[in-house]
Amino acid sequence: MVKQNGEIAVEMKHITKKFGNLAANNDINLKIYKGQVHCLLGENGAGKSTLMNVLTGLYKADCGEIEINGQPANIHSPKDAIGYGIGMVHQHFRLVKPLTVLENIILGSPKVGFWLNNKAAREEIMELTDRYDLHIDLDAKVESLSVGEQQRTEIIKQMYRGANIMILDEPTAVLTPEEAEKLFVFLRQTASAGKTIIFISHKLREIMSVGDKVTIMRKGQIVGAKDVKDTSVEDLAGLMIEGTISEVKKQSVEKDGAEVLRLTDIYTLHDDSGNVNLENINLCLNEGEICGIAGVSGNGQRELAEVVSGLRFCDKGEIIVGQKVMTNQCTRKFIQAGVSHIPEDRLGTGLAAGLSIIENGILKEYKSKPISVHGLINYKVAKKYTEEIIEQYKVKAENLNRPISALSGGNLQRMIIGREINGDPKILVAAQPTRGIDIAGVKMVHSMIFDQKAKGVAVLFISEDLDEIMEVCDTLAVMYQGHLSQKVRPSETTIEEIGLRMGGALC
Amino acid sequence: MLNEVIENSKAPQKNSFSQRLPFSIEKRQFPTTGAVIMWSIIGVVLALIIGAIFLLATGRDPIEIYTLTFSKVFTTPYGLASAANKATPLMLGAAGVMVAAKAGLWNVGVEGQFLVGAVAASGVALLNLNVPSFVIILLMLVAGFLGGALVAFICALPKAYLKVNEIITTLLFNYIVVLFVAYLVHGPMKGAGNNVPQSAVFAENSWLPQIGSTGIHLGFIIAIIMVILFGWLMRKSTFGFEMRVVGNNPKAAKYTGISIIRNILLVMIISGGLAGIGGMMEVSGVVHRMQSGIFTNFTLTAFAVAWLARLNTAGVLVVSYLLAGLLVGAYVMQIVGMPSAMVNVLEGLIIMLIVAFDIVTVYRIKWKRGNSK
Amino acid sequence: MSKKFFKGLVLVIVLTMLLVLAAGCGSQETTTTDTAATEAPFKVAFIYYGSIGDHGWTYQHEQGRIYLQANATNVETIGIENVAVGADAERVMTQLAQEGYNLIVATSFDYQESTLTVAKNFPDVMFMNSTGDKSDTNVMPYFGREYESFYLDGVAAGLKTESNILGYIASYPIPAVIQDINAFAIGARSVNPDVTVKVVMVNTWYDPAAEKQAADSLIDGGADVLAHETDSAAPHQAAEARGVWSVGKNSDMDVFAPDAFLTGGVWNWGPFYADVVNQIREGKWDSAPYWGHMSTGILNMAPYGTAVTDDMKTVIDQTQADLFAGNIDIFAGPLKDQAGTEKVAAGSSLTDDELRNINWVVDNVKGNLGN
Repeated sequence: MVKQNGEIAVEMKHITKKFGNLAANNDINLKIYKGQVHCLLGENGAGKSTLMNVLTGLYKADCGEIEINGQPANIHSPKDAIGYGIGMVHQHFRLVKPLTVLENIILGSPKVGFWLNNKAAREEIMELTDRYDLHIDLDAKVESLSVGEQQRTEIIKQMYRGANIMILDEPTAVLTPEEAEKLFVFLRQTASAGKTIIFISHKLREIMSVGDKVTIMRKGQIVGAKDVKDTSVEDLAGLMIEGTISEVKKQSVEKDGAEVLRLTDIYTLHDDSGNVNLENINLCLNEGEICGIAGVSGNGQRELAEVVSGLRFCDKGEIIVGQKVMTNQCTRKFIQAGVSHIPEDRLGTGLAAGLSIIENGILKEYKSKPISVHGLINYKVAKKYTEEIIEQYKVKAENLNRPISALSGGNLQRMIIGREINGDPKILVAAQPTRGIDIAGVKMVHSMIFDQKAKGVAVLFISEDLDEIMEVCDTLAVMYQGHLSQKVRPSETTIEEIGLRMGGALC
Repeated sequence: MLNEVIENSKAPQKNSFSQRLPFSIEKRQFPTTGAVIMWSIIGVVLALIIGAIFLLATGRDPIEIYTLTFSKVFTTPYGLASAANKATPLMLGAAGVMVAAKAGLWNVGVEGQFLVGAVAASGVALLNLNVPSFVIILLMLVAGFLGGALVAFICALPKAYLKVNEIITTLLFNYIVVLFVAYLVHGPMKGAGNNVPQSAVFAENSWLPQIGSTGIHLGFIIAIIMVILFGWLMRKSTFGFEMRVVGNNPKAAKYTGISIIRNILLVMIISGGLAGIGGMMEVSGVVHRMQSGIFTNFTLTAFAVAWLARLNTAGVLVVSYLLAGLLVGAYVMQIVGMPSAMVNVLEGLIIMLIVAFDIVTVYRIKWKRGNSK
Repeated sequence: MSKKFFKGLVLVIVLTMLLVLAAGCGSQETTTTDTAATEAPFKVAFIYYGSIGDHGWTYQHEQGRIYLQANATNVETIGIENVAVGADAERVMTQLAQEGYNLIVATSFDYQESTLTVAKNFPDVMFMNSTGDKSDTNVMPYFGREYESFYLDGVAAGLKTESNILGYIASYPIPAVIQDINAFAIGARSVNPDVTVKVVMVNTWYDPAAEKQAADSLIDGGADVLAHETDSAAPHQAAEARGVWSVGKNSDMDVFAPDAFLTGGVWNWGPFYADVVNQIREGKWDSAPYWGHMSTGILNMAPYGTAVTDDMKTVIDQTQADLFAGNIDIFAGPLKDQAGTEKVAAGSSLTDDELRNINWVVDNVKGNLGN
């Protein structure tokens, strides 16, 4: 099977980790070689993140041993892991939001003593970012960064700490194709320089292009280990999910429906730092149209989504929803007009973590009959309403009275998408709805969006995955630095042209 | 933020020492009510044991002092009634803290709201209106609510519109209110005749009536009803729902179209109003006149109640009664022979240990069955 | 599950309370009868507003309690510290009465209303209220004529001052305090016609920080002898630190300011308490307000400090002897208030009743009373 080549950097033996009765990792044995890019492939909840959390000292395995460079390693805390040269870029970033990028990078670094020497650190970091083309404003506050930029910060932070074994959890989920390509080049470079990369992903093509070896996990167990050059996409997909995925076929656009959304000459105010100003945005959406918004993260997509869903006021311009002028109306009016919004930052914006699953289920509908009558919420009806969402969108949840933070990431995603679609919207703003979820989940989200399309809902589909946009959308436009290109049909353009627009080379 | 919550709730970090123990300690995602109550009791018992050591060291009999204190507070009609009267403003203040906390606000100004509520109610009582008693008491209740609500509203304005931290506004406003009340009782409100900083005694028709011959005033029942009512509204009503969403995740509130400003103002009005009613009940039910210093350390005690009760309505009722018993018992302990300083230490220990044990309520001890390593 | 448990707990507590309340409604009469058994000790409780460690007002009362315990036969005494006014005081007195205490001594003016209320519910229990002015069949207000000691303080200060400005740290503008301010000013004027008294009102009985601030501001204003109506030693310490002088009240404050301290009234409650207990036992309880002269020994002057010269001693001693002999009428006319209005005509004097309600200060007092 796997060729025994080179030194072993990490060996994990008989790792078992249980949460209650659920074995997230069951007797895992894994060898990772120095100087290679080792991929971990599996669906959400297959146990990849848990295994890596054990390796980085965040979790303590119930049993099993870890060897680093052939020596038994006692990793009891993230600090121990850093001592062994292990660094991890998490899917959910561990950044202190009110601090600057520079401060986040040097925070807790062993290189920093009691006194901060920002100047020396800054020079070293600048050198790193130049070498790997990971440009970022070191003095920007992290809370004002886009998700992609936050990830960049995380990567730089690990490199600055001198990680020899770098774990990346779904790193491309937030990157544009070019950025991902750059990342791959960076990963190959660092691997050939003798560092070890553990690359967690469920994107098969990525694995094929960047990996040396791949280990496939399913339901807490290892179900296969391959050399990448000896395998194929179909092979891996088969191992990763039981049965084959039924291809979701997109209906072709038969007719142009009535216009439901029109943005005319929209400009936004410059309010706080970090927000991109929208300039001269013009866009119209028809019933049953899926319009893709492509672009590198942080070019105004979030702001556009907020303007369309009534969360952000405009400085100039006009918004028409259906037949009504809705410019600078309150958010509730937009909701009542049938605008649903799956926000980019699902967990931070779309849900109230401390409230129960039921309360989150009715977050948009708590004021409408029969969930509430005369200002009092009928929790029986609310529960039923939530149960419908949960059942229909296959959210795994036991006790609906528990805080929603008890749900896993994938389930939170399904929950919020389900809730937004369940409200029978007229317009659905879907910001990065498939980021960080597994293939089956992506297919499900796509089919849910196609269902909406079939019902006549106009969808504003914001994604950084160009392949996805080409596959899903009827029309598309590209955002670059607050400007939106003209809407075109995928057949009328090429990946190259879009790529140029995303890079600002074409206006 | 949420991510951290999820990650932290999954597993604690352990050190190598714990590996050698015959049991492991696991973190639950949520503490069970049973665990909370059990650890609270353990905290109280531990405080009593520490207190007993001090008492023994100074040649006193701790068992006798404890049993006498307990029996005098919790088994005599007078002790129970005293605790009930003491608990009345406390539960309202704690409910005020709780309501605000559910909306993510720290109302540390309940003392000022309590005082202004008391002043407003006193103002009504001192008008000596010639109307039936229940009308006067109703007017006093309304005045108490409005007085407390007004103070809280003023403190909430900078928070709502300028994002000034409400802890600062409510805390600082307390000082203004305390001095204002001192001015009133030294000046305009001062009773005729003697030259003392207190108002005249209210006419008896503005006293909250006693319940039978129990010695408990009617305010106790009204307070329980109000706490339950507002607790229920916070849970069941759409406006309570909005407030909780605002408190839990303001971004989500904005996303859902809930007005954050409106809810901050509204919740502070309710919070302050509850504390203000507490002030009304203290002057109308117990003191029967306005004077300063009618309830010392009101904010601290109300916060202790709200936190020990885990912001739970039923908990507020129970804890405020028990804590009132402790406050009443503090004097009883002196009567049965415990030095005053020791009583303060014991009070502090009990509250501190209960709060300290709060951390462990989410852990569960699991015995290893000989398979470690 | 857990919610049910909690609800159950609430239910149990509510039920217990209802039961006890029901019991309370039925059996009110049985509690307070068996107290008069022949050889039972006479039980006396003292309620203190402050802490016995204040070395002031409360401390002196505690000394009185200790004297009573040591010198009266078959008595049992207790002191309860730090009792807040209002509801707390009322509750503590009620509990003490229920405990079978025969005499309850409430040692602050602020307890007066509570004392009267509780006394109505316990007609068999005797109550005393220091500095109060309202009596009832079982409530006896008591006090010593503290203004006499302030008159002597005034004499000492008037003799000592070089700047002819005296400072006075007052607590509240109540009659008991105003009497003392006036007596102090009149006493000082009797030996030094040019002297004026500056008053600062601190609105507290005990706050060392505020008292020190007030003292410093008075010294800055030119005062070189300080008197105080508050309970801490801070004014003396301030005087000591700034090299001026001070007169005291309540306790002997010499230890805090060996160079600055001149003299001051020191309460001697013990013999008085022992007398009252004896009177009650002999059935001679008289609840009429007691307002004892210094000559009864209820209030003594502290031993002179080092700053008091022999000449001063002679004058003060003579003044005290005249006062005890009844040769001096402190509030004899003519007296004018700050506005210059004549309040007491020549040949007449203030009655006790007028003194108890006094709300004006004499014309050599500077400063606003704040009322």
